[in-house]
Amino acid sequence: MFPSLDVMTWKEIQPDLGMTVEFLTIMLYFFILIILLALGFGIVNTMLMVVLERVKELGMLMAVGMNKSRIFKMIMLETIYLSLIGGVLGMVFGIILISAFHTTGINLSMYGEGFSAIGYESVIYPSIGADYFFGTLAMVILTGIIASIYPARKALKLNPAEAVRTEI
Amino acid sequence: MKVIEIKNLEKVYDGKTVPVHAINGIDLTFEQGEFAAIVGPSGSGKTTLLNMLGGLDNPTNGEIVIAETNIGKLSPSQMIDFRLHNIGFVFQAYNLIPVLTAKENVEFIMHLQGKTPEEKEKRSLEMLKAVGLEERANSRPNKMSGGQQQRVAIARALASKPQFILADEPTANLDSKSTETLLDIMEQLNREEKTTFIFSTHDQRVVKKARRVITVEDGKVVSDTRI
Repeated sequence: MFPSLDVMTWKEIQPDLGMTVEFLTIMLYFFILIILLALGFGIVNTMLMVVLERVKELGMLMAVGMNKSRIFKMIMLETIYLSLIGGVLGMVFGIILISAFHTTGINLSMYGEGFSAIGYESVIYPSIGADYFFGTLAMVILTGIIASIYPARKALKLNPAEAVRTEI
Repeated sequence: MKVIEIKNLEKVYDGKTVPVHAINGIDLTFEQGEFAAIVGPSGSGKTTLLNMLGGLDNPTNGEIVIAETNIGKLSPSQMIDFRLHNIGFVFQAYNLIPVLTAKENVEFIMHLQGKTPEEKEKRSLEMLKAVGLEERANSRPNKMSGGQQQRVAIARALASKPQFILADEPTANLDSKSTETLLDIMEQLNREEKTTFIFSTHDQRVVKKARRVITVEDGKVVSDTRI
């Protein structure tokens, strides 16, 4: 219809910019991985303390007849609640931050004069998709579940007869 | 009716160099409704004996029959379930759940047993009344004295209607007045509920209240007197 026109995507027009964007996306995934790893260790640490602080209580629960699967579930649930509360708080904080900057924008002109040269705006208006948002929440909860296995197993290995006499 | 029958019980711990004979052939029988004290110096094997009676430790030799069940033949998970339905525990350090109120603590074991909310409510209030703490039903353990906490622990142990109650030095952390109150309550419940009480102690005041005194030394019963 328009023989004189050529239709191209922006990546075809500026393949170098496309590559940069894709590279940044990969970087972002690595960052998320590192953050989740740190989160996982944080949770393991917190829950191990929870188990160690409550050796006496756990010993009593085992002695009076709380079975292992219930104790495992109890520690698991606590971990999941902990990561859920943290996750939701983080999300709320994220929404506030993103929506605030979504209207005012983040002015990067002082760092990146080159942005406009390659076709980028120097003021960025961040926004976030629901899929990304819930994906992150799911990953946080999954990390929580995986991280709780070790403390929960540690709790199960307690000897109730000794644990009830532990002085803390 | 026999509640517990202990036959030729032995417990040997594998020490690093020499094996430690904690229990050296004990034969004992407990009838329903007994109020028995196990006494003896530290290291005599009292605690080991109580742990084995409570199914928290396995004997090296011999057997323990509780309400016609040989507990040595139970698998670990069956043992947990058996403890839940047959054995009440009172610990030296009370071991109440700090985030629950007195009433919730009393209801806890019944909750594990799967009792209905009505049953739990009725029985927990009845037990708290029996230990004289009905007005503290909604207090948390940290708002109660040691004696009161131990009374809640006794109410908790009895609420689940066990065959017998094991108490390892229940008064060790209490002053003399609380000890006396606690013992009176234990004795009264022992008579009213017909539940067997077996407790270890160092305390002469506790020994005086007992109707049967079993003295253990070097892992053997050296005297067994009924008063």
